[in-house]
Amino acid sequence: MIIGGGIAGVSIARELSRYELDVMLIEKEADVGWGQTKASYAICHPGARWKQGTLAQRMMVESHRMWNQMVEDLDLELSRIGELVLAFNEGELQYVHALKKQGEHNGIKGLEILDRSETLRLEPHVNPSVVAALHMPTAGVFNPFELVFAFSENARANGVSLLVGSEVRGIRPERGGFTIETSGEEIRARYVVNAAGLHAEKIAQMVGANNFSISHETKSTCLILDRCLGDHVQHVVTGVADPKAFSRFKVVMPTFHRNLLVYTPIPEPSRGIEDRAIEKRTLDITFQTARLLTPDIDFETHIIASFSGLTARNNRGDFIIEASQKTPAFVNVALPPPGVTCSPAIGKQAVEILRNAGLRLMEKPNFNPHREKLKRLRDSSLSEIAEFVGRDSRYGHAVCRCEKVSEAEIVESIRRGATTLDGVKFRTRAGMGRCQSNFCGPEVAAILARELHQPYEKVTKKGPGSVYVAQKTY
Amino acid sequence: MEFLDVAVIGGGPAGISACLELCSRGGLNIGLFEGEQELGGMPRSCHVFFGLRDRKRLYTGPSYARNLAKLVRKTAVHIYTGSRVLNIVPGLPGETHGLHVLSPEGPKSFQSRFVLLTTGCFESSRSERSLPGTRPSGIFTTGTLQQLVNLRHVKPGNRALIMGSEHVALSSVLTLKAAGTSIAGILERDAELHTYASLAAFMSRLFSFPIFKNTATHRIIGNRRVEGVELLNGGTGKTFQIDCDTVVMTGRFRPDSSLIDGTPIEKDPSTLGPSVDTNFMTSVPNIFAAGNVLRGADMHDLCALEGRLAARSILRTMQTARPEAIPSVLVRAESPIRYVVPQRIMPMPRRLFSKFLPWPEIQLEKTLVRPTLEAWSGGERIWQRSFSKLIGHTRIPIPIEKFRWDRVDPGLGLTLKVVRGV
Repeated sequence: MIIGGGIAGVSIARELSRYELDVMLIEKEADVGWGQTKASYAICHPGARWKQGTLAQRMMVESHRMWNQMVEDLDLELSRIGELVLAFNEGELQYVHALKKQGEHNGIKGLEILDRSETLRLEPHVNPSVVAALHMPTAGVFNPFELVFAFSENARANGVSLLVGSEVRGIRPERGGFTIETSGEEIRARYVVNAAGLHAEKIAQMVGANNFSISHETKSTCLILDRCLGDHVQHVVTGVADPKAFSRFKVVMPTFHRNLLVYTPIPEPSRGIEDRAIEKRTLDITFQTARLLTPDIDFETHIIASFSGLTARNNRGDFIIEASQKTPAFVNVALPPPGVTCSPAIGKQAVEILRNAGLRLMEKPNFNPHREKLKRLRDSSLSEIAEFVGRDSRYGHAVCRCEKVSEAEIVESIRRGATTLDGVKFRTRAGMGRCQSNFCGPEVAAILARELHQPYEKVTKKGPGSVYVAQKTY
Repeated sequence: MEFLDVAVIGGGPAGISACLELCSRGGLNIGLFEGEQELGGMPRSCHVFFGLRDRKRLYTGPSYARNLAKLVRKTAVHIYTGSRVLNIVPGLPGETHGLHVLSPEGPKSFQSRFVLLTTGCFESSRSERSLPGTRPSGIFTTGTLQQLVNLRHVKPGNRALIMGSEHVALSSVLTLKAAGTSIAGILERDAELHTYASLAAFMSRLFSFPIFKNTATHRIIGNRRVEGVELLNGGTGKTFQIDCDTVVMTGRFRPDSSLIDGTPIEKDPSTLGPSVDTNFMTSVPNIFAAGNVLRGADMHDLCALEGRLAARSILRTMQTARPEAIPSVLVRAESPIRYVVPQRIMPMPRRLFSKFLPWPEIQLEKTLVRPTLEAWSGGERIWQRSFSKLIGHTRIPIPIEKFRWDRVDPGLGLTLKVVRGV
């Protein structure tokens, strides 16, 4: 039993699906990837920021050996656009040099310090008061939603069962395993992987395996800008947020789909683990970040979405992937950033730990490593579109006009597991464009109702309690 | 590949009116492209008064839309509904322009001598308004609200707070009442409403809801569905909470101009729509734009009139060998003028315009008392007029025929500014 459908949980699920096992993943939200992963900036870090000797750094090195194969097998969306770490003063210049040294020590290739004019040549819109920049050409950007769906879809295709919308209420250790009390039925499992992210401490407490603590005192706010600005920044452009910690930085970057994204981590006591409210203050600080890194971009006019998320950091300051000493069949997975970059190795590592804890692993002869992504209208040429429409005329009906998402894509996303408006949005991008579902929301809801054989008023944005409309009137 | 004389993109009031006008000249091969299944555009889902200044009688939105659709279906215009234009490929000077169009029959390519963009506008999303708080279900724009109530026949929520006080806020009051939703109030950040204050006061008494002026959204509350909104009174600095399960964001329209992104068609950073000249021509010869794609929303009948004028310009351009015989002059606007449309002007006789249509026009950021508007070119003042009051966020006509054109330096362009007024 894997608890938690974030990037860690789905990666472990996919890795376990290689073997003759009965695996279930339980997720309390209506879909996978709706915790920290959803609000991730989704950078594929080359790995300069993490010290050698840490598990995070080891996982990173191993993951980079695996990514190319992963991208091919799972049809992932990753573009390696490179990163520029900007320095604006002597102190930051030293920081950048120290980062380069650590990066080279970690074996990263191609690192170089660019002077001001070279930096401005690569990125004409960055703040001209920049002194120098560290160029890390192997950095990339993922589509974070696609990543989670790819892992979970492939895991399901290989026999993992996925239980969404079910919360773990308690765990009773019993002889030969555990009984997991959920908001639905009780489930028995011989092994439990706790990948509950922000809730990992609470889950570990249920079996007394909480030899770590999780803090959630960093709230990060993300701004997403209209795609018409997408080409203004070509690299992941980062600035120094906390000179003491390499792993805290602020970002302006294009996403995989060429929207600009601004991200700032802000240490701030949140109002609890579910607090994802956007604060006026953090929004202002995020705008300041944007103006500091790229002052001549009109962020205020072109912002199309903003959201906040909490980052779970554990008290050990490194990845925790380990069997509990008290109950070895219970494996804790508690990851500070960069979970997304390290996800392939995290899956492997968790499986190794389960093996050491006594889980017998027999490879499935019919394991299928491949998964195909949704065919997107907007990424297709006219002749490809003609072929799609020939097969399914619903490809000829563009429901979301901003992101050019067809009815066929929406229907396919529902077939692949979307049950909510957000589920459709994260799979297809319908509603992620300029108008933010202003036009297509009512129609996407109608397609959901039709495909799921539900009345219109039962369609939700993100699961129970989030109905889209109150009732049908006439 | 199909060939057209004129391709009109968007089958709302502006697009249909343009087609009707273009038909006055026989023998033209005209195509009208509409992404939805039905013609008519926004009025289809809007139930206030329509047709006053263009059709000279009153309609409800849907009947106005049906009426326009019926008229254009009687003409020889090729009508492509359910057909979304994916992109425009402007041709080189003197060549035709390409369009890629998607419909359930598959993608099709067109070449057209003239293109008219009448794609309309939409309301800013939540983030553009930087509304803090949680991100639950139950936050709609008026456009979505009207679609839900009038086209899908659903009740969006039980109790709604309306943000913004442009005319459309009053329209959304009526839409909500029609659906049986109670109104928790209207919220305006500024000290004054952006609509007819007496009408707003009348509706507030009729449906017994409060109007909060000088009040901002402090945070939206509720993790799954909206549970309430915390408001901040700008005068007292105090916060208070309104319970509601629905928030309607009104006004703050922006052009749906995504088709010009990535093309050489120039965009005005202050309107976010294509910049045009007095003849509605964009920066690319023979590509025109009219209606709400030029600016945030205005009344449908003014869009219809603009569509007609743009069509007449297209017909005139077809006849002239050298369309840019009179060079256009670039106009800039200084704050508190939000924008000026068209962005390039030329001296033109008033008779070419409609007397109902403020064109060229400006909009102000806020209402000004006793302002003086001036136009300058280089160091020369070429026009000046004083007003007792100018209302913010509404169209103000600029009488360019009164400008002293002989003193205009085309190289330096024109600047419009407000010199006095509070």
